[in-house]
Amino acid sequence: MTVLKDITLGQYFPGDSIIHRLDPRAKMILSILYIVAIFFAKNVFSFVILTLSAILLVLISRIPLLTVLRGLKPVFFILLFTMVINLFLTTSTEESPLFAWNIPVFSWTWQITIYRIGILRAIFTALRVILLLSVSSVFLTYTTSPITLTDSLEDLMGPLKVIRVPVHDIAMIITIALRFIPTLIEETDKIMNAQKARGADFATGSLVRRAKALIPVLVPLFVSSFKRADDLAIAMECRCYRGGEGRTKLHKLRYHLRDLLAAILMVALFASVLFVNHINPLGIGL
Amino acid sequence: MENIIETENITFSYSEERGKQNPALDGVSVSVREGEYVAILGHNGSGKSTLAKLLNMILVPDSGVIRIGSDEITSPNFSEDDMFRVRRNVGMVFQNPDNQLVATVVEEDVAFGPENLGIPREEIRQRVDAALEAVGMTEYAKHAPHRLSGGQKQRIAIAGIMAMMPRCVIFDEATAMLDPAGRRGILAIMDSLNHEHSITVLNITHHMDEAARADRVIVINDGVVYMQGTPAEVFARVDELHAVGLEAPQDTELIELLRRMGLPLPAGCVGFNACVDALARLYEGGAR
Repeated sequence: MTVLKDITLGQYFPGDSIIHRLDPRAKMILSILYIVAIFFAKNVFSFVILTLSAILLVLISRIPLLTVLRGLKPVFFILLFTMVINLFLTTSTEESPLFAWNIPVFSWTWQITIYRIGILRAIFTALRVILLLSVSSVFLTYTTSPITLTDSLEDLMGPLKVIRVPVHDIAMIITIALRFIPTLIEETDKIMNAQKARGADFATGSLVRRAKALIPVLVPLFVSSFKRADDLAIAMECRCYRGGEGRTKLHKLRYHLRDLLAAILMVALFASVLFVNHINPLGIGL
Repeated sequence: MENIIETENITFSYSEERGKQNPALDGVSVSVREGEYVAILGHNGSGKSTLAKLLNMILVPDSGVIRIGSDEITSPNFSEDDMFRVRRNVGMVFQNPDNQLVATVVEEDVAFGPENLGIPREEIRQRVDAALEAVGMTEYAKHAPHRLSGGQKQRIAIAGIMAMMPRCVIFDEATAMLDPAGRRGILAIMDSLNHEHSITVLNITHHMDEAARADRVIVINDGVVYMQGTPAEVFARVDELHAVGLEAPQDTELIELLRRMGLPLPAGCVGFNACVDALARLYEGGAR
């Protein structure tokens, strides 16, 4: 049962590349800019620019390209589904279909048509999802440790304190959740083994049966989680925790010149996407 | 030396309807001097952990007076700020090493206490480094706590308390969930806290050999102070310990039993070396 233990949230790859050293807040903003740029892209050229810059980013970050692609596995079926939907359901009044099949189904005929614009849409949508996921995970999860990510979240959401959003508390909750995920996974593992030793069977039977088999795992897990939460709260109080008020920090986030340069590059990328959207020399676009 | 902890006749009961059930503590008066190393002994349910929780204001006594330093924490006009002053002076290390680490990186966790106290960043850095050094975990500063062993986690927890620079540290069965090696490590740290950093140490335990390391032993049974004195004094009273389900450390008990059989051995031998010496002297005497 080492499988459970290997799951780590976020898959942070420690490293020393320039991407790793960027300020996490800057990386958050960069990701958002890039994602917006993805949705502005309208033609082949803008997508080429975006794809090339994404590949460049992966190369600079020294995260193996294969790892990034593997990270897309969970969305593979969603990708396939959206591609198929876009391919077959896009219709256009301006152009004639590239293909049209008439499939007789009993008394009526089912017409399948594929338009040029449908193919483009399918490819672009897939590309958008791929780029969005890979770039944001390179920026945020692969090269940024969860703890600095939480810190930067707290920092970026800082202005929301004015409207009484408990920013510090949210960040603390996320930190504690991250801290306890491996512990709870380990615990689940232990409980499952204990129940197996008593003859529980998690692997066979119908879905309902297997779901039911998990109840004797979840109940003790919940009970012990509450106990842990209680212990932790007491331990935190004993260490003088009283919320974000008057708290200092060991690590303070600081912007550097490289963050500014990265931001300039991202704005330039954004501008070139917008620019290329208009010229569209080959006429391939939406 | 003045007393850092003083309790006068405190009672505490966990049940809602007070007085109906047996109180967990029933009139406990103890005092601990600054710089002392005290072990509080008792079997499970004797009330020893309750006492610890009262000293750190996790629980509030039903009656009686508790003084930490010059603060009377049971006084009605004791404010929340006073409470934080007390807690920064009296740190506590708990039983379960997993449930007291907050952060996902070791050094961040050690910094948690000083951060709460609002210490300037440069000083936090120094304190964290010094605390990790003191518990011998410097090389693990950037590690994730869940990858460490139980003993290592407990060291981090101690470092987290040390970084707050308390005058007193209470260990509430801090070694109970550790393997022997982890336990030895933690005990060595307790000793060094007391001897090298002159911090008052209160070790709440049911391990007799841990109690043997202390300057003074307080035995709690059924919510009252049953015995107190130096380890030698307490462990010599083997029968009284047996009566409340406790046993003296095995070496001490052996000497005591031999002494009762009429062999000329000193009363109250505590510690492995002292016991071996006593036996060696007996052997040499017999050979002569």
